Amino acid sequence: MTTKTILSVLVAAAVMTAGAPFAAAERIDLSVGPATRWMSSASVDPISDRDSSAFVSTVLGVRVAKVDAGPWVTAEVSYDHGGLSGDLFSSLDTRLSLDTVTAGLKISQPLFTAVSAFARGGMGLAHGHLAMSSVARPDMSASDGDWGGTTFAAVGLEARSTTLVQVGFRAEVGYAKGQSLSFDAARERDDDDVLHIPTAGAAMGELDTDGVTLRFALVLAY
Amino acid sequence: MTRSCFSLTAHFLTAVVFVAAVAACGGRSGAWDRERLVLGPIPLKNQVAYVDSARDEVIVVDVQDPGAPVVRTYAIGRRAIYAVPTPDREHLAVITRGQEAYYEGEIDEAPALWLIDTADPAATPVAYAIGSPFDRLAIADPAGDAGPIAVAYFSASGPDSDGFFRNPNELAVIDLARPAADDNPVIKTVRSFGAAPSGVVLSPPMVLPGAADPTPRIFALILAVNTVTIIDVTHPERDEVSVRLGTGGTGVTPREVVFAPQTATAYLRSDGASDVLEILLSYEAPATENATDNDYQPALAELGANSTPTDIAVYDDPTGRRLILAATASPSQLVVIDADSGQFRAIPTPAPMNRVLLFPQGGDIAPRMAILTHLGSPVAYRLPLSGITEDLTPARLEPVAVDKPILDIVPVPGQDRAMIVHDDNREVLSLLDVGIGSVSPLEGIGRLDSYAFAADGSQLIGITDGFGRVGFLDLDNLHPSDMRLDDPPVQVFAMPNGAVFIDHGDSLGLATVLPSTAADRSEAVVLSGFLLAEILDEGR
Repeated sequence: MTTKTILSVLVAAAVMTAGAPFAAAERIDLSVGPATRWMSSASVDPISDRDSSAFVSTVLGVRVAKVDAGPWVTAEVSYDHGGLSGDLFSSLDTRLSLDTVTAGLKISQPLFTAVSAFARGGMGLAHGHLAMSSVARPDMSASDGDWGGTTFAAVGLEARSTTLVQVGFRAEVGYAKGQSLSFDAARERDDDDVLHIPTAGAAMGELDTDGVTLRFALVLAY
Repeated sequence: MTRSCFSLTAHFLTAVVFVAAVAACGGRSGAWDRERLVLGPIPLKNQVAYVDSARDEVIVVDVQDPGAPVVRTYAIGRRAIYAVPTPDREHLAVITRGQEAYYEGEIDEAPALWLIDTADPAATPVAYAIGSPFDRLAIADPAGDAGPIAVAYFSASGPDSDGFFRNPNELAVIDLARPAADDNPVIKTVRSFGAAPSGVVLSPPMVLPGAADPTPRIFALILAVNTVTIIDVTHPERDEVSVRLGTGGTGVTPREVVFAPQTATAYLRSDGASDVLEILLSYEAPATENATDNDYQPALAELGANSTPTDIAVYDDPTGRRLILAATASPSQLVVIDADSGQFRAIPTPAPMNRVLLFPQGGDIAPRMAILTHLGSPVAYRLPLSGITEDLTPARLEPVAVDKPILDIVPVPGQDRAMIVHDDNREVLSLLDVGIGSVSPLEGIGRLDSYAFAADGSQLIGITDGFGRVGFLDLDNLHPSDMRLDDPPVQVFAMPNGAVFIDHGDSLGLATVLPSTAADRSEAVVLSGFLLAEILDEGR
């Protein structure tokens, strides 16, 4: 899937979310909470001795349809920011930050008065930034960033109050899969106004960020 | 909320916790937490190599095309401890200590020698099991149709914490042109007379005069106090021969060996010996009842320096006669020895000399001039070599005065010039024109911490540690120039293709590559992070 295709889907979903008639939507959901992704690929090992990366996840949703006596359909746009850090050979500090913007749909089915089950999925773009620096000489450092497409699917439960302004809690488990991110070890320089010799960073390889995700969030709906 | 609602929620959260627990299982291999030691940079033909003992890899920066350096990695064994290029600089040999399996998932690995063709991107390193964690390696040029031969041995550093017993007289002879086999390497323990080897010197290919086998072969001289042991490393299965240099009292310690391959002769300068020692190898038919008997016999002779030589030089004069120049301190003289006849001529010198250099160096041209110096004095002496053995021809020892004491003198490759170093920090230098006898002072702003001569000898390239410039000196007209670097340099290398490689000592890998000494900043390239090359793919 090309980045252009993903961007097109993102824009379409955003327009759909933003443009949904408020009357038809009935509810706008905003959920914010912590998330964790277990990136099980061995390509993460040079960065950290942990596979789990911590994120802050923000999801904005607009109910766009309701199937007769069935589930609600919500268009969503979400933004996750997080990453992980560690050390390599006890001599290098490593730091990966990962930002993802996705658009998708959530289908929720009320189970009880205040509890519903849901499934959600989407696609979007991920941006990774990897930096490594010497512990002894922090000025010896290299970093790079890369973009790639990403998709996710998740299932979960949501409980919310039955008041006009609803407050609730959401928990979900899912899986995120995306394109591998490529990084070069480009030299970091602070003196941007100085003329520098053209620099080529050696290719560090490809990072696979796929993994199981776990999210908890507080939900505010109106 | 109903009871079934709580039940469903509880089941879901249980599932979530289970998924999280399963996903959290993992961590990473202890390989990523190893202590890291990087050997290098090691200059090769048109590459520079680094050996990463944590990644168990050789990382090669190829500057064949200086405008687009290429980084390659080659996997080797655990815990690299020593690396040295082959004489032609087209291969890198690395000794790895191996490891004893200690943690879950580790595998026992024996010490090995790895040979890597660093110019071939598709090359697979060749491993040879050498049995012991040797920490020194000598490699000889190929002999005839045979490939290069290596001898791995122990340094004098003594056993380390990883070993229990260590046999300092053990060595491994490896034929690098053949793959590993039962007879390759050959592990030997050389005969000892109470001393451990202090070094191993390999001869150039030599034909043994009178031998039934006319193919050139390589001999290893294992140096120890009072003893030189000779091994025919082209036939390592054959017995070695020990030559006693002294039998007590003051020990005779071999310091320097030069070979005369045409006559299968080695000349030794030794501390404690009163002469230049000559070891002449001659053919002797092997005993038929001993399958491993060798076919040569060494003859030890003292050539008439009549005093402990402080430096020697060997060359063939235009008639093909092999001559040895031996400087002695007491009396102060230069002894010219005809190696074939043993006749000698002593030329008095105004002071004891301890450095003898011949010019021109290398190539096929016979040297025409010797430069004699006593390191520490402010005078060098030129000695024309024409007619030097003839007693009736007066030796013209011409003093060349320099302003400051001479601490080191370094020949410029391919040129009749020598760089003179006047202080420990290499801050004060001068250039000696051997042909004319003139000395030109060279002024710099700092220490010459690392330097190289361009492959054609036309330029001196130097850097000062921590000072962000590289300096060039045109040796034809002594015109200096320099170039600003983006990062402080640590080492500089001149590559055979004319490129200049400047290493910045960065633990992630950082180097500036210039296509030539005439290049400016716009033609230079900085390559960063090469010591992290492909590191993410390694985990996969």
